Amino acid sequence: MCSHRRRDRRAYFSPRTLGLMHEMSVAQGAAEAVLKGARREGAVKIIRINLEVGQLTFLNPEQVIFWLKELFKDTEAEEAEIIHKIIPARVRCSRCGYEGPLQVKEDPLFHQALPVFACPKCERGSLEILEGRDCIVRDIEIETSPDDQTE
Amino acid sequence: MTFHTYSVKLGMHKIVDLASEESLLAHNRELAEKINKQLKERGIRSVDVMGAIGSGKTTILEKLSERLKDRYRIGALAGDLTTTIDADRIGAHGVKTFQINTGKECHLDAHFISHAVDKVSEDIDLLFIENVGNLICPADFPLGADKRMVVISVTEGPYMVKKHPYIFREADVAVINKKDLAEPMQVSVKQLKEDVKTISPGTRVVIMCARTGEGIEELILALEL
Repeated sequence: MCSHRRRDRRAYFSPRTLGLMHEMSVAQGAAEAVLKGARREGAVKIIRINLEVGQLTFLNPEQVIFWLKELFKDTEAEEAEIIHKIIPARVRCSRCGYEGPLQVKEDPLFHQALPVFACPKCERGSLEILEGRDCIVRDIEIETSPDDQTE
Repeated sequence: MTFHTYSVKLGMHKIVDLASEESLLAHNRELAEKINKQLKERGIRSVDVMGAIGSGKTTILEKLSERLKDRYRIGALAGDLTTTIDADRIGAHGVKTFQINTGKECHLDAHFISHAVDKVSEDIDLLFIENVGNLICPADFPLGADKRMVVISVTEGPYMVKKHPYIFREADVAVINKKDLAEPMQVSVKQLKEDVKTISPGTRVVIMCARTGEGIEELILALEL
């Protein structure tokens, strides 16, 4: 079943689809969701795409958007505006039940704050990640065909 | 009439909610869970070996295989872009190797593994999966192994942990390799260990010199093998 799925995913895009960096694999999944959803709703044009990137993914949103634009060439989404939002991490502690954001450690040596995977409250329990490890298309704004509306 | 035609030709704008569509990363995680269940049912323990290029992943696997070959029937899936060098090296220790050439991919994903696992012969009970040398992409793609381990070495410099925090969160065991070279490299093994413990307190740190076999017993304990 899985191989079948993968083939489907790639069917939208011809030779360009051989994977490169993992931003491209993720962009392929997102692009497929966009085009499938848009075509199902009878879109002639995709105006806007709202992308959500989890803080805990190792994805660079600019690169995901770059690949999306590449993949959308010659499709209904070619001119779409792509907006991205970073979804902060939310975790739950198995020991004390803490639920909320991760603790962040500032290190002056680095430009980026380091997330710490210890419970911010009890510092000992193991953490379950509730949010922030996905990259999804939240929604899209489309323009439907005038012909469809007359039906 | 003219007005009517005009308004129809404008088309209509619509918001389509896609939040419930499959996310590639979530799909990978589900598939990884399935693989883990399959391997368990077949009585196979599994370790995903991640790590930097040249950090010593293959050497560690050679040493582990040598040390464990009397207790387990070992198989290894070696992920490599185009060559079979790693698979050949591990295979020289009597391990059944299964090569996965990833082509241009920078990581293995659960989909690769789901097919490779079918080809793994029935008569093994310990499977090592050697990931592509990379500290970034594999973090997002669990493969369904019981344990994930990440290997870095002092020759990569003092900032390998701080620069790649996410992969250490994912790892049950972190190996700091080539401790014998720490002094000439002027890299503090203690600091690297502290960095791992700060970012991911639950990750077990093993300090090794894989070439001489130092630390291998501790690694076996950490991997619960």
